[in-house]
Amino acid sequence: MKTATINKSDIDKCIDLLSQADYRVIAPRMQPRLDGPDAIDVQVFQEIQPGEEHAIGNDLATTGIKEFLFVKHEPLFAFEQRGKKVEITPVSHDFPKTVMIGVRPCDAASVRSLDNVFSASNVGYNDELFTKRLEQTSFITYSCTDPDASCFCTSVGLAPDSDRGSDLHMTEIDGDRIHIEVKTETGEVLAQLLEPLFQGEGDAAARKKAGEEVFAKISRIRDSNPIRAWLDDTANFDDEMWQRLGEKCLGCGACTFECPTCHCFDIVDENRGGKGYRVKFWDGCQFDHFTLHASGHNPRDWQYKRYRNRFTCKFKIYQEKFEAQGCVGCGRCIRGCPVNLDITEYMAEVAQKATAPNAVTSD
Amino acid sequence: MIEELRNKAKELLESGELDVVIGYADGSDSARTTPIFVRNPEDVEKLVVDGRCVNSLPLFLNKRHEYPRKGWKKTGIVGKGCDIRAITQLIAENQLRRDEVYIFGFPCDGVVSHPNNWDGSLNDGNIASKCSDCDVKIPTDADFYPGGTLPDADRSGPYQITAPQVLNLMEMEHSDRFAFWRDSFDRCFKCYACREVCPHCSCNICITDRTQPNWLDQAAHKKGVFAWHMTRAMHLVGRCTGCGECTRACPVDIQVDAFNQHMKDVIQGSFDYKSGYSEEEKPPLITFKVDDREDFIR
Amino acid sequence: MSKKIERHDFEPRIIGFVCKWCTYSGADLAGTSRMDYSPNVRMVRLPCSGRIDQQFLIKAFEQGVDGVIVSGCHPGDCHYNEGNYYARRRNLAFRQLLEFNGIDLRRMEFSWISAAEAIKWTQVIDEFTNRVRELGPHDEYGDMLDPYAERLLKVEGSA
Repeated sequence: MKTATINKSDIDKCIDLLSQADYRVIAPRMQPRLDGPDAIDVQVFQEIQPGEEHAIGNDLATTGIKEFLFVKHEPLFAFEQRGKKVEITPVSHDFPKTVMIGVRPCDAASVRSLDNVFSASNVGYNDELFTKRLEQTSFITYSCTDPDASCFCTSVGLAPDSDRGSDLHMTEIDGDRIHIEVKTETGEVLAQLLEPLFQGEGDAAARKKAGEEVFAKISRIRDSNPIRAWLDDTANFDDEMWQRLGEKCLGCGACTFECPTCHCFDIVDENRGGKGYRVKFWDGCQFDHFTLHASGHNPRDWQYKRYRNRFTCKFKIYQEKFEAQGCVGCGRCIRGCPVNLDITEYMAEVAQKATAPNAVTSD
Repeated sequence: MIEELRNKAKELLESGELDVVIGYADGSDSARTTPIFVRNPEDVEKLVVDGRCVNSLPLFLNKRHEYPRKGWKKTGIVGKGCDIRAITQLIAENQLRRDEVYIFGFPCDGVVSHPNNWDGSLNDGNIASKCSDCDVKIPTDADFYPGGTLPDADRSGPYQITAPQVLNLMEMEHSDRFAFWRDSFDRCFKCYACREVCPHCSCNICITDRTQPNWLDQAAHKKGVFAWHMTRAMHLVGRCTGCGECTRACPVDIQVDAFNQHMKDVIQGSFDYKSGYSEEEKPPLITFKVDDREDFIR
Repeated sequence: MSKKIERHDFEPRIIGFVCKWCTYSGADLAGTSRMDYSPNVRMVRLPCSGRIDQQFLIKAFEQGVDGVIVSGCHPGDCHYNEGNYYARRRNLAFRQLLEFNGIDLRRMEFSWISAAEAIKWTQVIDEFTNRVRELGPHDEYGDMLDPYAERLLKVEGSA
């Protein structure tokens, strides 16, 4: 595996080189700060031009990279009703050559989960709107250095310096340097572009040390091993835990929209009279009308049932149906939840119940 | 103070007078608190009250979040001054009866502007701007108050707009203002967290969820986002009590309550009404005076 | 009472939300009296100005209209006694909201026009139309109205 070192201060130049090679570069950027004492720093992934300031290496961005692969809203086609006929007009979709830089390991790992949902290999239907975008996208990942109190990637089988989903992996090491690892053929292509900035071979020992240091900093640790078996047992579907922990959930959708692996969407005809678009846009299972049937019946009528579904989806259904990771431990749902609902609290309770002396699990 | 509150809560839970006490407990990390539904008298020890208690708990009393309330006869609720104003406003709008709630008030020094800014204590550097001009640090109403009786306070002053950009916005040209909002709403992806945390958003089926007809586009393009925020602002005119929860709840940190702050100022100026201070006074948009201002009408 | 109505390059689209007892009847009287006035307004008749939900006005702008008129009975003359009083309050608040949002208030007009005031109706419409014509098309909101317009692909041989 090829490795290299660059100076941390050369990341700007990386962006320049990539941009000159006709890539659309997406990086985390700080948003203009509002005035006043309540203002906080907001960081989102955005397209970046050479010369613009990036925020690579800061805290985890509020929004992830999901919106560039699975876009927030897009038209499928336009339609117009003329008399008895309906005329369909196609719309353009562009899939630009893109490189995402500064992507954290949790976000990078989520890409595979999304891919399994949208690609033919797994679910039998190839959603080109996703797969074509993904084909054109490369990932330059960036190991974490300072996880915060809400990060829990190590509890779901990941690590803050993991290279899963990475084409080119960067890790900060001592001396204000960055150790680069080329992980895939695409990464080779990127490495060739960035070669002018290379300062020499990589420093494997420093890389290992950095990895171990950050791994030890993760403070939120839960045992996720017993969860799937506990969820598989249908007797636990009506456990009292769901109501007790889910009472305060508001059903807002902040967690589902911030989550890197959540992928639910809705398709709706937006029209005025007989003319409009068929639009595909993000939807969330936490909304109260998500499972509302046309008959008026709603199987998930109360909020705790909806959160139960979310937890089950992430820790059981993803594995079963999509053969992928449901939760990457980024902690955005914990940080973003208005009532501080904590998915790791559910994890801890389940682990406790599953390992209790007379636990009911399906193995 | 917290001990007195806990003891009173325990007493009322044990006697059966209250089915549940909704309060604050320690959250997922040291900078956060989370709402807690205490039913068991022993659990009152989990209740906390300090500068981290940003949540507005009366949202659990409104119809939209009805599930937790099913079967409750009387609910105890811990409220800061601004939360108690929200309760008073709910009562004024007939969403709640006063005898259905037992309010645990306490003297509030303010809350932190954002959990990221919490450094162990509340100080001038991290206090929320809504607390700077607060006239309900001693709440307007409470069934329990530490030390016994609820002292009086002068609340005749007007609401102050606390977000500086609200003030700055009115100085701009209207096309610049529109451009400002277009940029600000770029990040909005219509998660409706602002709606769900609002104590006053209580419609069983929100207008955005109605599909026949489809009033507001659900997709998060500019049209859909603008329509939603204008509608939300309009539906809260004369009702918003200024808790600022909508902005705090926004996962992408957009200052969504700028509209609400401006409208509070307008309503106060035009109709001399401050929401949340009186259970009897009707909200301004459901009453009228024959000599209301009409200088803008031909 | 015929006057020559000039046609211009840009003819604004104006929508009027009017109450049926007063303003609509006033407009009707203007019609039966064969009064000439700018033809740019399309009317939506409602039973009372108090029925006007501000959603309608937001949607009107969303649809790309260049100007909106809201009109009803004079205070004290409402057919339902109080509807126009509520409308007055709501519209006062709504105007402020629009202004805060950055929509030019010169594109909105509110008026009290009774069933006998056909002349006032024609004057209001003419003046408002001229005002909106000078302001030009409502581009700022207008380009949001069709979110995907630039993505439409021309199909070979389509009508």
